[in-house]
Amino acid sequence: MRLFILLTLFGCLQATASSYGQTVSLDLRNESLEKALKEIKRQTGYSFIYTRAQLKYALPVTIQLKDGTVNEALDYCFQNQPLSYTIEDKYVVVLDKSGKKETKPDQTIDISGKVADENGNALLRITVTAVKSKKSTFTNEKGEFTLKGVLENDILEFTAVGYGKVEIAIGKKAFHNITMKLVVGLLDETVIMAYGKTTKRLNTGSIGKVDSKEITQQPVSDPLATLHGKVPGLVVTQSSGVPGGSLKIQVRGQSSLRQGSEPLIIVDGVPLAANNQAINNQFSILTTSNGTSGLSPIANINPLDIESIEILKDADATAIYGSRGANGVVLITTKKGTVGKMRVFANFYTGWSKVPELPEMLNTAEYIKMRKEAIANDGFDPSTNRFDPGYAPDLLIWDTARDSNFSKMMLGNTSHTYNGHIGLSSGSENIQLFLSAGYNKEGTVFPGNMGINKISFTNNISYTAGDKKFSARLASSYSSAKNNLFNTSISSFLSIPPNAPPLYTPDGKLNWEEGGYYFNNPLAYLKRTYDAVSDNLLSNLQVEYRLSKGITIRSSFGYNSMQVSEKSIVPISARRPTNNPTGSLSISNNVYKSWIIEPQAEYETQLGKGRLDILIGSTFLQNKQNALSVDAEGYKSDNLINSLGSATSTNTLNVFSDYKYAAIFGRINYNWDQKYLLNMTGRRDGSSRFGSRKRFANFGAIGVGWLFQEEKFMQKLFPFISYGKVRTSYGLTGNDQIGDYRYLDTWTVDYYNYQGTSVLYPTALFNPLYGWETNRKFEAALELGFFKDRIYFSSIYFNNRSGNQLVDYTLAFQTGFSSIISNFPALVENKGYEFQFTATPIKSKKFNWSISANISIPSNKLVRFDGLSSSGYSSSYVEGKSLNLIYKLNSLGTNPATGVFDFEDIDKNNTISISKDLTISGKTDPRYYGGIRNTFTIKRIELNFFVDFKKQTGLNYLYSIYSNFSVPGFPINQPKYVLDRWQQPGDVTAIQKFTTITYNEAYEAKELLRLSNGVYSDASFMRLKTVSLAWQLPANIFKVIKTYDSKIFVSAQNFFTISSYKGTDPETQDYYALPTLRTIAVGINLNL
Amino acid sequence: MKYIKYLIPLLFLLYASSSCRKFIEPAPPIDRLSSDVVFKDVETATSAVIGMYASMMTTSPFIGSGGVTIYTGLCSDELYNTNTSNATLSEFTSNAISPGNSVVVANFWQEGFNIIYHANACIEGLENNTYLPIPVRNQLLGEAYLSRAFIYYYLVSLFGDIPLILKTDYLETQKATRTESASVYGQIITDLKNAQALLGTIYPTNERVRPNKSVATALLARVYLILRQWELAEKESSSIINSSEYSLEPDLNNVFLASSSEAIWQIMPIVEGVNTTEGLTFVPSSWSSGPPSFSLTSYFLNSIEADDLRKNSWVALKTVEGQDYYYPFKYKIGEYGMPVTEYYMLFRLAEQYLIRAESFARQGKIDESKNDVDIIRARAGLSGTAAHTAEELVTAIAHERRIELFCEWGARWFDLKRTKKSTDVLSPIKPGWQPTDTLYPIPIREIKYAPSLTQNPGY
Repeated sequence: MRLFILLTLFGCLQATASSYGQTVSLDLRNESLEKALKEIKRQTGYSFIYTRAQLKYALPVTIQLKDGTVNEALDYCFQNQPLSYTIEDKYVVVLDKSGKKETKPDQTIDISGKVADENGNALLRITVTAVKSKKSTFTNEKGEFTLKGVLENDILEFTAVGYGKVEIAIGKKAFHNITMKLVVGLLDETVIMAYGKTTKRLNTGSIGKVDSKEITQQPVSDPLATLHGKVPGLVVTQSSGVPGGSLKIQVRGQSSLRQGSEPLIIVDGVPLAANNQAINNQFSILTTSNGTSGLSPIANINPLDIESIEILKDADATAIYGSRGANGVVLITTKKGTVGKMRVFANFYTGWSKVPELPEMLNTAEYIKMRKEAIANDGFDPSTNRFDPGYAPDLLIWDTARDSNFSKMMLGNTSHTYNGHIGLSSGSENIQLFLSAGYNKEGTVFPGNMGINKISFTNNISYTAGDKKFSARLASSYSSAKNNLFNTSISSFLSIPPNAPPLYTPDGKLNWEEGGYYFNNPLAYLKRTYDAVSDNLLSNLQVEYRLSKGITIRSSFGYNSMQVSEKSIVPISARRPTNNPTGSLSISNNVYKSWIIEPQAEYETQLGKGRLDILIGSTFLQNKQNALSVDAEGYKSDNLINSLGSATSTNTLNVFSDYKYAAIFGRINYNWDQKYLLNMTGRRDGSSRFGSRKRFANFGAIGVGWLFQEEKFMQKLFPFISYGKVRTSYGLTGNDQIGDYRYLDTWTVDYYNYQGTSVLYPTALFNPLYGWETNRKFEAALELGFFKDRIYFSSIYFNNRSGNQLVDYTLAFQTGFSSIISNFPALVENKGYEFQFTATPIKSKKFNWSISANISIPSNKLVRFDGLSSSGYSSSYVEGKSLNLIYKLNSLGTNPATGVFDFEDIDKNNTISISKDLTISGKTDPRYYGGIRNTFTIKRIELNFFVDFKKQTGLNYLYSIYSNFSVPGFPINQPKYVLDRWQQPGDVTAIQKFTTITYNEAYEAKELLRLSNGVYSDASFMRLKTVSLAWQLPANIFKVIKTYDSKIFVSAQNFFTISSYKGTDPETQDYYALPTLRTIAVGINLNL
Repeated sequence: MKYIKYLIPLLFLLYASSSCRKFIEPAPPIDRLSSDVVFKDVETATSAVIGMYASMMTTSPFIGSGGVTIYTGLCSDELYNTNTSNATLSEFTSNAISPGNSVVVANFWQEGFNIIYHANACIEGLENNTYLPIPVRNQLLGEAYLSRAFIYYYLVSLFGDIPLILKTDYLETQKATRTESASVYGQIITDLKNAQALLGTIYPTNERVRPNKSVATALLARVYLILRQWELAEKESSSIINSSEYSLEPDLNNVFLASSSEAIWQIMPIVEGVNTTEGLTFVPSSWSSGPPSFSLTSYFLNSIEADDLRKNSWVALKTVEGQDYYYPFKYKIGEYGMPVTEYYMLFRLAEQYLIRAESFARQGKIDESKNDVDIIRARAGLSGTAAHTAEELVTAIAHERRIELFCEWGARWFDLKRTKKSTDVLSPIKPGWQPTDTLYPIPIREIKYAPSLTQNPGY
């Protein structure tokens, strides 16, 4: 696979390189001079500065030149012309021959002008540079600028983030009206960074970006699900295919041994109160055995409201977040209104999802065979006597002619998705508005009427006062999601024997038995309802006032509240009636609230040939969590089950935490002549999560960049390179995902009481030295653009070292406790390479092909852990190896003689010890991962493929089979894989012999297998993540209203997967988790 | 003046950052309490102190709930374990305890220091406390001092020199080294005198499940006996015997009941349907067909005089497959799910009579001594002692203690050690006995994580 990517990369490079060159070839016959100059410009990238008037009297040219230099070509062109030329930097300035001496080189004039955008709105803080005079200034609120004493033959350059560069010759004109256009060129498009904006060109840090176009192409309802394979260094893992389920995201590997490694998630400047932790309190079908799953807090954000998602990775980009920046930062920015006439956006689609590969379970014939074989293996005979070891009512009492496929029945349905989103954007120069409303309904593949209903509203209002000194922006969004699911695990119904009795009795009730032998009716599981309603309110107000001389003060005020109410019911009807069952109810309410205030002051000035930008600010943040749950039991009637008062016993639990954070931060950014970039950031943090003696800490980073292709000698050496930058950064960030209150010496109330008085026990030591984990990040990168940036390539090396790890430190019991969580000089290293490549190999009016690809090659290592062998982690970690090491027993497979799993006795003491016979067999970290996107545009049709790939080792089906209490042979159904089992001496099989008892060798070996390397295998995959085909509607398709960029589309998510993985899904790695669904959607995207 | 407007944002930021320290103090958690909150309120402070008794009253034999009785009973000549395949128990019976023995590590050392931490945390919270009414503070602080002294008494008796931990700060306590036994006893006496000064003569609540001043006095009498300070032991025990609060239960079967009139301090069981851990451990369940887990040795049974009523009331017999197993029957409830009628006895009046009798005898006060011994003998249905000289009396009292206090908080094991008779008595009946076996080993784990600790000789 790696080879494939490299070939693709080089193939494209080569193909394009051959059509360009450092030299000029011209074949012109009687063509205008302008055409000749344009051709030279196209081939060399030189810009020409001339006026139409100058060319009016130019003579036609006839040139035949092969592989000439620029000078040669120009000399031909200007032969016999009334004009001459001169090369300044990379500009060719056309001069009147007669007037050549007219303007003396040292003659200066004062100029002024006004800069506006395409709509005529004045543009502020545009850098205006007189190239030769080496003078520059900014435009003011009215877009005006003045430069005194510039050379008359000078060239003016207008630059600003997000706008295309404009160059004009001054001539003798004293006043210039300039129009600048917003550009979407790769290098100059806006990239959101911490407390500001930058561009790919001027950025000194490592920021990955996914824009709204890519997000919109995917018919998914969770914004994180759009990030698979998009950004190098970012791993996104879906825990299950159940809608609303959480996705785990990790930036550049696991940096903490035992504490959290989730990136900080910030939406429009407001950190999400729940970050990316699962927000559910209760068990449901969302919960899978891999432990990372649950209800996602991010799923509440409508992807269609997102303008861009930026992933901040290196120290330069993240150190300004101080103790919260170690694991990277995800910035989500919502759409804003734009100046201009009102626009309406509408997006509707409907989709169908299915499980691509259903878990295949044994059919009745196979199941019966397994059961009979197991009983025979154990030396018993099938019997109907309950006390007989061979008791097998499923074989003897139940009808063995029935054959049900519960996998198909429970997971084989098609889920329907409906999505509607309407937005409105409008704005005058003073007020811009963006409003939107969305509705999303996503069904499930389970039987019945389950699924998620979501609504979302956003509004984004910007106001700028007439004098442009004051501005304010309010961005608010509210969303509510209602999940109707059920609260059992998938394995509970997949394990039902295929010859189970009919699900209904003849009188239409749920059936529970046949011949006195009971079974779990899968339909009863569906009655165990789980309902969750999550409401998310997020609001951010930013006010800004411009003092004079480049000083701006602003403050943002943010608020986020996330409230989740859950209700799980196990009604009496879901329980077997013979046991006189009662119903139970669990309700819980989980509320996260956070507010943030960030006052800031910014100063911008021109210093020498550079632009200096200084930002200082402070942060005040509070984050509270309040959870209450009540378990009520003993309901005698299903009609009363929603009332807590009718329960015979209730048990309540509440949890509370309060996190407070205050900090001051600063940034100094200096950009010398668009050539040399320096960025320094720092933050002093105070956090309530740290011990009393460690509350405050300093963090910071420095990043430098050199746009080397701006140097003349580089341009001469490599004229085909249009953009080149080397940058590097180093800095310190911290990880504060260490839990709240862990420094406190706490007392906990015990369940028991003494003489009716509750009792308190000390449960934690006072821990004043408990502090954050430190994370030192280094990065070096090379970015290159070729042929006017039609090819862009970047390669990054990073090395992050996380020390001061918080681990349980063993204490002598004389301290009163057995261990304390303590900072330890253990060191974890994450390093790797990230490559990104984009190119437009074919670009014409009718046909366009663009490709972008990225690959990350990470490596994780526990560099140092003093005293590891005497700690509680000695059988989990090994120094010098990855944290996600497979340090397990060495499985030798099924012993052909005995039919039982065998393991290597490494210490040769004739017993298998789960702590001493361990061997290192690989790691579960991805070896490499990435994505490739191809976009083809043929006239109005756009076809887009996105492939996501990952090379990794993971848990396989054997883990799912043998981590259960029941092993193959027990009266529960098993995956079809178990047919490859040992039957007689000499058999070499993946599965050991069937058994029905828990007290034999085979059963003991099952537990060992679970702790061995036998349950791991290759889980690499290459997935056609997204395919979309869109047809752009003609602008006049509706007679009354004009449309632009409107589309009808068909798109598919997870269309197919290539993998040798044994199991259902190499991503979830759990046979009993719902695999990632395949979705096909059709829709329309209207822009009016 | 020109620059004033630039100062505004700067001043604002300065103001903002100066208030940081105060700002980041989070609201306290509600599912847990932090130490500075616990001792500001009568209710929670009381909960913290009585939490010590609740944690002593575990349902398996730990240091506060029968562990001392059972394991020192095995080490001495009182008990043997009927299930010889249990290596952990057999190490006690054969006096060959390994430094990694899980009972020594968990039931004694870990649990003991856990309660010491609890007591220290209470003392730190109460010592300079101005939030609580003084009488409440005094009572609670007295209880904390007493509990600390009580646990230290057993730790020093079992292990000899031990780290003397009087603080909660783990940065200091993890460095603590072993303190000489004499100093530990010194600290115990200081704590008990403090407790005597702080505690009242009446019990703070109904029943005798939270200590009063007499409990401190009773333990002080015991400590003075060990330290051979006979006058002081006599004085302390007298003050209990002379108080009208306590009287010997005439019926031996009532001595260990919740309502026992001779109880000085009892701990009440806290788990519903469970009486005492000793009852659960010693008394075989009615549905069990096997022998009791622990059986009394013939050495002990043979030492009981023929018509001693204590044999009938406090010893029971179970015959399994023709073999007789006698087991301790002071606590009579061995079943789960029974109403709680028995409390766990920590101090009782009979012991104080025997302490005073010995103190008298050692001081040559023959008549006073005989008088006290005979009170105990009379209740057991026995005639007065035949001893006449001080020396004979000391021997007679030792016998009386052996019978009266058998299987009660290691009295026999500690008496043998106190009177330096362990080797004489145990070496003939315990193969492999070594004189160093009177002290338990310091757990190997502790030496690993507190490297300044040393091991006891013989291990």
